[in-house]
Amino acid sequence: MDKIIAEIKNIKAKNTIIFSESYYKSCDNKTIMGEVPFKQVLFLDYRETEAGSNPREYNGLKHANLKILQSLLKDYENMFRFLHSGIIVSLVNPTFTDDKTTQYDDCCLTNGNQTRFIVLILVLLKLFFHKTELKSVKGKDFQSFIKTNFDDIEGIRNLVRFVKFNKVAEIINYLHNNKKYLESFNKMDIDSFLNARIRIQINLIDAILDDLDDETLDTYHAGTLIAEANNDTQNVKVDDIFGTKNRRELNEKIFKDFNKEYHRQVEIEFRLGEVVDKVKKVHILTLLRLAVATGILCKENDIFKSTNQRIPIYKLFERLLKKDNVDNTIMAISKIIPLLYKIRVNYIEPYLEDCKRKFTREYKEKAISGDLGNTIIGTQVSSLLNNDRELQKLIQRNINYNIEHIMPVIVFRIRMLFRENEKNKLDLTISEANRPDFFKGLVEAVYKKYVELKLAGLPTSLTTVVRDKKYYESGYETYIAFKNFYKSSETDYITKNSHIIK
Amino acid sequence: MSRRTVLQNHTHFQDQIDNIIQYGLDIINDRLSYFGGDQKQQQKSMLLESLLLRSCALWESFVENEVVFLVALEPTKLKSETGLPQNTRLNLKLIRALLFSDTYRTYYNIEQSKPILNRLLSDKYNLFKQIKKEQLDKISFVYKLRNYLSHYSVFAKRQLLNAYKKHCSYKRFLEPGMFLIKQKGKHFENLIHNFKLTSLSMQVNFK
Repeated sequence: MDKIIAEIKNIKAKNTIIFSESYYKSCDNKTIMGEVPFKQVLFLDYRETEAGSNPREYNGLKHANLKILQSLLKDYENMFRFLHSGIIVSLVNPTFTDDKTTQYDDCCLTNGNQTRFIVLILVLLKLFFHKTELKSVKGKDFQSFIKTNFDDIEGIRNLVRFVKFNKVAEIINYLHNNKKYLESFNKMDIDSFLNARIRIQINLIDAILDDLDDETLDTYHAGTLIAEANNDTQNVKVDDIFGTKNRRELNEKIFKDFNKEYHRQVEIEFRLGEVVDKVKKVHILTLLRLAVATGILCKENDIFKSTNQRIPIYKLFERLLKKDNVDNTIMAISKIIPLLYKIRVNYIEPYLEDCKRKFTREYKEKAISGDLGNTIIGTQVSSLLNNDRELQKLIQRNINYNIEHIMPVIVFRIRMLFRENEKNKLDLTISEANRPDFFKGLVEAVYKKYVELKLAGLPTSLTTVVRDKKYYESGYETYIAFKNFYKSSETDYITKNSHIIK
Repeated sequence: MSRRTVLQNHTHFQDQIDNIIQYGLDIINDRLSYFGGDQKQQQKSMLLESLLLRSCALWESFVENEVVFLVALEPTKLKSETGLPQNTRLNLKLIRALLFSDTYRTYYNIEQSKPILNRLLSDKYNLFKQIKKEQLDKISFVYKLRNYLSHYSVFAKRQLLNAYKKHCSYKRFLEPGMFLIKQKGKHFENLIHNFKLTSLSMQVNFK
């Protein structure tokens, strides 16, 4: 077993992909296709890498994933590779040692992440039970097995933490309840499973960018674009159900002002992937989240809890749409959404990108100056001082942000600055001229706190931390200073129009 | 002469580099209103090239001052090198004159200047030894861009193409401005920021 673990870890440690046979490489050096053994794809990165970020996490044994699991267990050796459409990967800075091997700096698994996680869980289970039959397993035993065997290589450690035990238990339970598949699993030979093939397409990002006239794309954004396009057609059930069911009411009530203001400029997407034309699009969730963070529908604590959540947001609006005598609230939300969307697009998104670059530079400077000793990356930093590329990657990984963790705090901060002007249009009490500096300061303060929290070491998961009241206090001093400096007044617009949904 | 003067030299240089990076990123991200029409990319590209040239000039000036200030902290080796008695009192002007006035001399190419810097600076104050190899490589790459922009010669172009291949695996030649704009200015930011990181590496054990 140790030999197998060492072999699969070594593949990741070397950042290589070795094909089963010679691969096909396009003449323009932008695409590679072929087949690889499962063992080559187990630990491919998929989130927040220089080669892009895949938006979809493994979501358990949903319908399609169950079919993949069954297909794997039925005949992984022969039929699986013909029944499965394969995986897609983006690579940055690849080198080709021979016609079977490629080495890379960064990788993003843009399509096939669900399959990979199923294969990985099966491999981990097989290694865990090592020649014995599948039995029930305790979470802490499994986690300790993972920690003992897969904690020493950073890339693997970062990936296996997303193998949640509840998802592993789901597969164990399924196998226990389905004798046929349980038998297949027990009979499965780990060596031949690891050598079973899957088809792979590789997009070589550098070569793609090299010939592109679009100067604004970098490897991360090009990889992410591919990942998002690959995943756009996938169903995300809860969003689709809510969006489809409430499309008419949302359009007529909640998004009334947004539709007026952004007519033919931005399309609202009620079902993920439904807008395919080359127009700017925004998903309903992005818009609804903006209103929730103002507190117009819920108490402060519920604002915090709903950070980066989907289902509670949909539930709030579902209930709101069913209620009588809430016209004022709905009208206010309809006005708030386009204003906050404008703020998000014009100020928050660009300033976050600017800040990310600035913080990356600043933290590199701190690394060189030996000022990161007290952070969780302190030890790693000191070993990477002579390797600029790796240092840059390490810092970028820790500086990266999720806008859905930051935008709600900004909205929460400015929730008292809404006012209706003479034409009944909603605006802020901060003048247009002062907004760039105001939002720049606010974004920097909140984002800085976010990075500091991450680097200080999180007591629990990042998602739990960003739902904490303390995190929502960030940017308070900056807000007060700017508000007083610009002599902006606070209003009761939100409280006047709020309707707390219990 | 105090250590503070050396640190001020660093801070001054680092601030100037920060300004250049910010200005360059404003250009790349279309935050300046004075570009327009069909020539926009070309105009942006020309400005970025100018900023690169400016960074090189600032680096040269920084290195020149640094050598003078570091020699002033411990001028024994300079006195030996020039045959002056050890009890000679040297001020900054005299040191500058001894180092630069007889002929055109520059130390910006640290790799090449290492032997002479070792002869002029005491080990304790030879901060140039703190510079990492990767930082020197990047500076050398910047100077390939700078040389091409200064001469537009066939030789300089060939040198630059080789540098593109070595550092970025590029197969075709790109005008420096277009190269600096690419990937939202990633190369521009990285290469110019390297000057600041180099300065920080030098002063890390000096504070």
